Amino acid sequence: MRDSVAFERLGIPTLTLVTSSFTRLARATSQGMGMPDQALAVIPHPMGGIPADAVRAKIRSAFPDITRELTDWQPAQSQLKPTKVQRYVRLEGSVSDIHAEFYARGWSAGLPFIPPGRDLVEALVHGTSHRPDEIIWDGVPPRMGILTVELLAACAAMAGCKPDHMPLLLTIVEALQDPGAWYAHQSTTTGTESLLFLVNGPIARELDVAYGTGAAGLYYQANAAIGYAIGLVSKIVGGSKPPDHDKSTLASPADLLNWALAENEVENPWTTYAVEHGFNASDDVVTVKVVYPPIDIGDHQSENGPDLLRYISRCINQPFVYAMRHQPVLLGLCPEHAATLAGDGFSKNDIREYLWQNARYPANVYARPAWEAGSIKANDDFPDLAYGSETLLPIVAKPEDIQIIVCGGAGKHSHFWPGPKGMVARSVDRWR
Amino acid sequence: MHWELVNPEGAARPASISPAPRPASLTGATIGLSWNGKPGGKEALEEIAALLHDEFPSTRFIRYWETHPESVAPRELSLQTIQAMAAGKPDAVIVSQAD
Repeated sequence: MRDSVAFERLGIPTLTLVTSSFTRLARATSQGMGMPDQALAVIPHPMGGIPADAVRAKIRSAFPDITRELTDWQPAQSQLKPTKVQRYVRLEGSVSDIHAEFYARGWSAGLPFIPPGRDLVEALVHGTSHRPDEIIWDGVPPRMGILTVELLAACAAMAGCKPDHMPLLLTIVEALQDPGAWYAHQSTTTGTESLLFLVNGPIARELDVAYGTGAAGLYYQANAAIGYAIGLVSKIVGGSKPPDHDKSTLASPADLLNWALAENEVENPWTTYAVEHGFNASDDVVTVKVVYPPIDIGDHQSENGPDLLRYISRCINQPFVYAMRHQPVLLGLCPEHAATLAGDGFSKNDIREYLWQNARYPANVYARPAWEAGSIKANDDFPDLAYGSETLLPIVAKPEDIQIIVCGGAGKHSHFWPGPKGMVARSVDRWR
Repeated sequence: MHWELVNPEGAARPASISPAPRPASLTGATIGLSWNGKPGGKEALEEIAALLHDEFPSTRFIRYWETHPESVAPRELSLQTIQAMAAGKPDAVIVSQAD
């Protein structure tokens, strides 16, 4: 829908093919982008994963509508009236009553939250030097909600954040707006995507962001509150809610709570992720990444680096929807695996190179139309790539697309977060 | 108990874009076909092109997956890409968001 709106902005009329399961999302996205209505040709769901003849039959049935809409379509309403929004709401009742009212208004998923009282929110705003009315995201997709410092503080208050968390949250918001983060896609996709926030630097210790045993398990206050706060921004301000606007086929608990953890810098035998990407060890940095649910790489047998790498390469060797794109995947090595590899002389680059060379699968794992003429071959990272059905495809375009961090505590379980999108790192400083 | 709470939803960006005017006729029109790479979408667009050509033989088509391969992406296209696609001055663009 965003591309269609972009064409309309340039004065070129569009007709957008959507399937029946996505019409509400299409209209909401269009409105959120600033266009009150849009010409849609609604095709019975699905269009993917069915024979080409079935697709063509659906188009033939819809063709009279398509020709009519191309020339005769008019918006149902010429312009949306600006909505008047109450900055504060005054309510009477118990905490349970507040929960019920927020749930009824679509301002919570029904989970416990701390009511965002005006005083509490003001206290959080004082965690940053920025003004409460400063717009920090002029349109959180798909609703295109206007996020201010105060609104972020309200979501943070609901999630249990403290004023000290605000600079970190503001940095996450900044990073999510980088096109490389692909946030808009994540907010509406059918995929099981969520957000991961990686914290590096002294701020992790200052805020008690956990990095060791169970760090991502949400039983650490800072980790849980940070992930939940951004989840509330996504759902409440951004309107990324199922079933109409967040179209994740099944989703996961991380869809609301996300992944927030610090890198285990104490037991990292190499440079940290942040230092590797141009920051100083003393910098406070947060990196965002859209991730699919992780794969547990439990290896208690390998006693040396080569054996362990061979095992890891098998675990992560999976075809992904948008394979072979220049989109980093994330390998979270547990400290014990990291020690085994580093002890045998493997650098991060050695690990990347080995995994890129060895974690490969044949093109024919995809249905023939995909690799022969369709979505796998038409790839802007490999425009000239020619390959056959038996060609072994790497899981990502280049070795450097395999990002490596050290995280977690004792035990021999590393984790691999498959794609699908980039990683964006930002310094926390400007948001203090 | 009395509560004064911050409305956590806030305002949404107001609508400000007027839809572009539609072509008066498809006779002799140039139609852009934009495919985001999702399965089924290209077949759908090709079928539309074939049916339109049957009804309006002078219609011309720009298959962006051929002229602008970078447009085959299931993500928001860059303004630069959209502008490059628009440079061919299509009278309308059919965008497939197949899923």
